[in-house]
Amino acid sequence: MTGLPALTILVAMPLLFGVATLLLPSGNDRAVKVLGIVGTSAVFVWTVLIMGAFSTGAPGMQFVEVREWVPVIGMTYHLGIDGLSLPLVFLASLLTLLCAIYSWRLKEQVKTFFFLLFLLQVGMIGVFIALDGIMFYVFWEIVLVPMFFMIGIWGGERRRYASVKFFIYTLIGSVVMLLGLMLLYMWGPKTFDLVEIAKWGQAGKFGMQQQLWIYGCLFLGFAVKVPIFPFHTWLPDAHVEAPTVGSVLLAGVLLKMGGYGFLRISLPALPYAFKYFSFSLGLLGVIGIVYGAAVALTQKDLKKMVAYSSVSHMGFVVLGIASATVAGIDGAVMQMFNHGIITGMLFFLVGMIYERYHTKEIARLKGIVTTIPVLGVIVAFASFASLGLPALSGFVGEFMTLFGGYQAFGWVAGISVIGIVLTAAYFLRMLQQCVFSPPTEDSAICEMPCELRATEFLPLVPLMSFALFLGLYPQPFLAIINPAATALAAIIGR
Amino acid sequence: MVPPIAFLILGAVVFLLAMIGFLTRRSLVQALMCLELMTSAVALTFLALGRALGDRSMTGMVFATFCMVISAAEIGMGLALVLLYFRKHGSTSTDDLDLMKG
Amino acid sequence: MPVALTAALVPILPAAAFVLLVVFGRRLGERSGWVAIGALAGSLACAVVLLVRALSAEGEPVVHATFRWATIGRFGLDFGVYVDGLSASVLLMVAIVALMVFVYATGYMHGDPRYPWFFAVFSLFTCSMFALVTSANLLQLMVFWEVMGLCSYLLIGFWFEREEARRASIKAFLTTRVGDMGFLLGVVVLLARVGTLDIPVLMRAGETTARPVLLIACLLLFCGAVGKSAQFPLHIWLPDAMAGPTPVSGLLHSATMVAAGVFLVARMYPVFEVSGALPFVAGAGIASAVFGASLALTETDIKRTLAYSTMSQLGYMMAALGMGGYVAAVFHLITHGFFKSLLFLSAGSVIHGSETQDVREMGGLAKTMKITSIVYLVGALALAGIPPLAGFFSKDAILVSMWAPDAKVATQALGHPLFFAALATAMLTAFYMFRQYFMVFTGPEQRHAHESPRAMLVPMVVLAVLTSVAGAINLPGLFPKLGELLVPGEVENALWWLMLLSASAAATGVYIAWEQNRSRLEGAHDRNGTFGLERVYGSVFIQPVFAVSDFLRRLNIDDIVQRTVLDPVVATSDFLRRMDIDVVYMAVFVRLTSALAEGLSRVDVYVIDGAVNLIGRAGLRIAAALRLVDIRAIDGGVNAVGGGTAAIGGWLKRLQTGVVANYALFMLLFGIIIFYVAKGLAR
Repeated sequence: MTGLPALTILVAMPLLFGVATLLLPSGNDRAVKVLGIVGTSAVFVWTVLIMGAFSTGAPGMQFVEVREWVPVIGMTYHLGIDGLSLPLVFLASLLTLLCAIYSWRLKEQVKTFFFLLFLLQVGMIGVFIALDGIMFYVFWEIVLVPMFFMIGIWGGERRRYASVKFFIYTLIGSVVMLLGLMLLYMWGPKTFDLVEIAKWGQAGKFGMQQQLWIYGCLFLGFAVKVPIFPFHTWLPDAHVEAPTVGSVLLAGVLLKMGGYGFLRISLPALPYAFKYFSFSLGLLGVIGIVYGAAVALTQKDLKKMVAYSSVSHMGFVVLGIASATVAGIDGAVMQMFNHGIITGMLFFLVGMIYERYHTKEIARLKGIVTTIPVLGVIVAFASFASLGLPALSGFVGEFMTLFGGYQAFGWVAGISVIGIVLTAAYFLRMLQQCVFSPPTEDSAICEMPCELRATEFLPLVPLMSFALFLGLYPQPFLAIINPAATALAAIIGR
Repeated sequence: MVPPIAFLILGAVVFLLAMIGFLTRRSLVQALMCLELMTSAVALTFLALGRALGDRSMTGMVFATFCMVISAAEIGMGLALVLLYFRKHGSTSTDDLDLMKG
Repeated sequence: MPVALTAALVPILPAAAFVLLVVFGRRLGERSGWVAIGALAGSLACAVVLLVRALSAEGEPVVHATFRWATIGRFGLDFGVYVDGLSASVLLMVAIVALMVFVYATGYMHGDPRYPWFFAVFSLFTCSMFALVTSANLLQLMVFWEVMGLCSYLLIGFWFEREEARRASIKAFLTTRVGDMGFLLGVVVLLARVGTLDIPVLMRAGETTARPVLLIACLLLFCGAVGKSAQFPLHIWLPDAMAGPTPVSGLLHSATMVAAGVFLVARMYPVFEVSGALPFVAGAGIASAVFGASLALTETDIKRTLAYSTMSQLGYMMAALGMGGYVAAVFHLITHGFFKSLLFLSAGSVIHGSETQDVREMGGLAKTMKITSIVYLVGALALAGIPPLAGFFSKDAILVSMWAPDAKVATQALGHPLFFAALATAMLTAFYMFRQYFMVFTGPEQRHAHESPRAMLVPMVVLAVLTSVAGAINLPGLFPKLGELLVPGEVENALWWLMLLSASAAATGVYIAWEQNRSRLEGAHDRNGTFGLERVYGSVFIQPVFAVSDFLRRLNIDDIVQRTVLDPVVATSDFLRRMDIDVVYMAVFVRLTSALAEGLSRVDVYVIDGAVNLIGRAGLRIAAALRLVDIRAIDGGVNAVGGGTAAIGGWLKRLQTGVVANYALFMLLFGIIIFYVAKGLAR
């Protein structure tokens, strides 16, 4: 695959499949679904091929494609992939494939749905491989639209409120981010090529005040997406109202775009500002960890609880990024991947539970393990993975970000362990209530054929395997991230 | 040899007339015609400037061609739309076309 | 077979059994127990090989083989196996005890609908203990430490249909997790400051790293040990953990879970020694020893009494470690593993037979459950510290370490108070164990009971034999094999007077229990009836007297022997009785301590649990408040932005006439404005 423009193909493939979906005759849902699964599988296979051809030891960009595009405004066509983006690209194509499989039983507006899914994939993959500011922004915005419609069309009761809130919130963030990108262009090397901008920044050519301003603009865009406390309030609403697939992709991939933005743009281009705000950012991360966990503890809605757990877990990502140490960055990428895997799994499970019991209220769910043993066991597995049990992947990321945080901030990072204990508390409370306690008269009743269907079970298998494998032996994965993380940490000098 | 400024003035006058027409005419067809006229005026300006600046790469001509292509496409689309609209509503007055009113 | 593979196989075999049972468990049914036992037997064989190697290794590690688990920049984390004298000896103990408990469980769990699942988790539990003991890396140790926590959660909550089992499992997991967060931070500090987590390198950390850093790190690590080994004040999960099936308690309280905490401190002992954290360890240990024993005094549940005694005995080990008694602590860890699992298994047998856990409802079980009563006696004697059972020697070693502490870590001024506290605790231990023993096995029968099946009895008997002879692995002065294995070249001296003292302290405890039991029974029965010999399996000091007298009476030889030999003894005891020694004991010692214990148990319930609950409730309140903040302040701001936008939009929409010409006019106007603005800017 050396001669081929691998990354262009990667981002074009879902686009073509999306168009092909539209061309299929309407009414033939089955064909659309088959095409959806085939298409996402093809993208996934291509990602795996790229992963196989990726040489792990090298720190720089690989599969680079760079061409002039619109030289007047300094825009280039620049794609590339490195240790930071490869895991996230992999995550995006894996989760999309699993979502396509899970949607096998979808009934309403199947064609639109799969088109949006492909469009979403274009955006998600594009953000992680774009090395040009404008392209980055365009892909960033592309993601917004399908997600808005997914929440708005297939969402729950308050879907309109949630989708508009999601849209306004992230749009404000991304508009300010665009301003930041333009400032990078104007005060910088008059090009949107992120590699050039990074070189400019590392040569110290941005003034200190300039750096702080740009950092502030970019921060808002990324912070809303992550979300960093206190910009997180859109998340629970969006999650609660979003359909299962929407939640999975939202938590699994979309949140990572924010963290990735910090690592790809803020850190290399604005080292001074990054260092300047490092402690505050780390503190926000720690607050997010404890705060998210504490609020999750009081939730009565299962999905909302998982949503707040996302806030808590993404806090670790923020802590790791803010530390700007090798361990922190390694851990942040690891944690992003793990969070995608584990929380994706949890949202799938919540979807399955809701479909059967028609409620997400923790107090009314009881005895899942006696009614649907397989589901109960997997819920328990996912919960333990999420609460950071060692030997499952969640722990590795948490440990490394905590370690990085300690290296950079000392004991402040240690506060976050309170969040870990609280996380254990709310997951165990949920398990005790929903999974293990015997059903009573007023608890919700399972109203479907209760066993898991193949299309439901199948998406869980790879997720569980990853959660287990990365927890037991993270080295192959870390070997991918490490060179990139080392290079980034060297910029800050940690 | 006609001085380039004459072409520019002509272009400006035609553009202005067309614009006034576009703003005041009530018929859709007339509005479309005014649009065409505006495009032609712009094309004329391009050509005049191209010639005056002695531009070898023929940017002015290229852009004039662009204008023609675009206006051809535009008139095709525009007339089709007007036709459809007339069939549906029996009128081509721009005053009746206010579905977009906020 | 290469020795590294041997060491790796120890945890791998039960892990394989776990996988096998999870996948095929349902098909295997009750055969799954034997799959697990087979795997464990393999582990045991490997452990024996390792110990044999360790014995001839003269202090050098037997195995140290690693692979790269994770690279974090310049830090490398190498996981693998590391076996030295300490791990080899603990490994063997764990393997033996686990094997016995597994065999026992095949009988105990017979007929349970989740039988294969039980053995699967049980295998994983054992596997994690093995892996923990053989860890070459502190993080690896922590990983398996937590996996063990998970297994304990699953096993304690095995009968999750019961409310109390669910509660207990959560309590156990959360309480230990609080401690584990200290462990986690300690690991982080060590990795950041020492630069490695390889256990052999860490042991020499004192040479390179500042003492205050190590002190903090060690105290944090000790938090983890406090949680896992149920030391004060994180012991609250331990008694509740009895909600699990008895084999679980048997393993969790002896060889695995709680042993892990002591093992951690022992493993990191050189670091603890250098850091100056040991006095804290000693303090927490002795507090737990006294506190646990006192709590046991008020307990009527047979298993909960044993649970508190576990806490107390672990406190002994911690205290010994704190006073430099490294060998003594490991010795006690090993013997305790044997006799405590024995006690739990026989307690399980008692519960199985009599279908109650309250000792007040039991009585006279020795008649129907002969074997159980004998092995229980052996266990109780060992726990009480009566020679020549294993518990005596190890407890004695601990007392020696307190009387003459290691000068490097503690002074005699610190050691002597600890010594007396430990001695008093030994007496208490003997007392409550034998009070329990007498109440359960002697006296009138209160309910019908039956002896347990052979699958349960055989392991109990094997453990009883081991309990009897395990003291021989480290006879002070004569055969200090364990000491040589752990710390080569160091000679321990035996203090004979101390042995005598500790034995008599234990005997006093037994005697008090005996007297108390007698006076209890007197209320309901004929005074002579209570002296029936067949009822007295009690105190080894009184039994021989009556055994001889009974023997002589049966032989019916002579009154002379009776008069010359026995009468003085009886007279003495009569005299003592008239002096009302027992009343004095009761009044001064027992009443006082039970009052104290009552008070302490109140402390436990109201102060500690109360504090925990308070913190929990406060946490919930704060969290609720935070949620309000979330909704009102942050959301409010966002909604205000939205509302403002809508209002502006409402005003602006009037411009939207829908007439094309108007739009064109706007375009024109704004075009002109932009033109001028741009022009102005350009200038």
